[in-house]
Amino acid sequence: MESLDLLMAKDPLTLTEEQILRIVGTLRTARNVWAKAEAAGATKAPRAASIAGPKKAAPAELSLDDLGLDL
Amino acid sequence: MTEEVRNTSFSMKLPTMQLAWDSTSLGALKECSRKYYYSIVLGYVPRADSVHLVFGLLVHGASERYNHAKASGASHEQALCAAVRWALVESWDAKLQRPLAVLDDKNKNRANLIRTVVWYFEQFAEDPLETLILSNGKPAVELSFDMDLGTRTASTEEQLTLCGHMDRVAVMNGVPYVVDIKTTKNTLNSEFFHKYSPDNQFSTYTLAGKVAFDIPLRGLIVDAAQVAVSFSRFARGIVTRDEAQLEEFLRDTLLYVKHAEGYAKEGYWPMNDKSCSNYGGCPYREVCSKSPASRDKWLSMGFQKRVWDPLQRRGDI
Repeated sequence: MESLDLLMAKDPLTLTEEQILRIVGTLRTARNVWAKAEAAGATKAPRAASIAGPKKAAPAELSLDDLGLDL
Repeated sequence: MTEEVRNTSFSMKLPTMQLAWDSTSLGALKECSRKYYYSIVLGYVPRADSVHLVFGLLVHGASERYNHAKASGASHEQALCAAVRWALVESWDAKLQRPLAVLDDKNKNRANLIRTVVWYFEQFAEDPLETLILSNGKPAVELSFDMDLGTRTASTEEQLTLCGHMDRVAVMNGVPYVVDIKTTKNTLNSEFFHKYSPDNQFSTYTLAGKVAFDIPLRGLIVDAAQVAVSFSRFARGIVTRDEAQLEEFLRDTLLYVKHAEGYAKEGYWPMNDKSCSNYGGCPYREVCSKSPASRDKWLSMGFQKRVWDPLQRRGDI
């Protein structure tokens, strides 16, 4: 039986209905295998590192006068 | 000599003024009016296709085939095979007898496209979402809309419209929603869905669905597909818009379009130089970094021309 790689490398216009069904079936099986592994936690997304809370804003020490503009 | 194709979404009287706006052109204008001018008015786009754009279009196309087949009475298996066959053909370069060169990405390649299509429809085989059937009996899939904005250009008194294409309208628990699929290589979390509120495209869809099709839409259902190297994972999120939000969006849109008319009359589209680094960097940044006199040369050398005409409908209703 032709592998998925071999079927995918063929000109798609020449693929028979049976070959399309085989592609679908192979990918369906792969999904079931992955879903089982995922359910068991094998492909669990990594947790994001905890983020520290926002720092308190520093008090403003500058004023418009510091810009040296003639307002 | 090749004759330039006329963009029918633009005014005949003021040729740089767009009259029919879609979310892409409106989004470009909001981002930077100079970017809008280069990409939509002049039609310059980067020479290389974006893998993300092509991959997304192929997933949408496969989904459209599946939903059309299902709405016509096909079984899940028949519809899935039709979608897979379509995706295989469209992602194949028949001349070179190889996958499309643009699909050369470790995540977004041809094999992962077909896997994503199969896994997506397997996951949602028992989908509580049912495609809405329109009053003309056709399934609400790939809907083109062209909605009167209720105002005209000040200078030429031409009608302004909001137009575009929606993938699908489906009903869940008696409530209709626009359904859209978004692909990403990133991990799916709540942040992924938060980025659609506010969002230009989703507000356009909800508004158009309500006004153009008279469907009491509450918002969108987003099917997010994470395309990883060895798996495709999916998550579904609901993005809502209420009446007041849509009114605000319409008001904003009219103001943006008014600005566009001002730019067209002036013959000048100012840069928003605070937006150059967004979304991984603007493709026109290098052009804008040159002295104004040399920019036309940079555009014609580094970009290709295409006509972005939102009035060219993709679907049929």
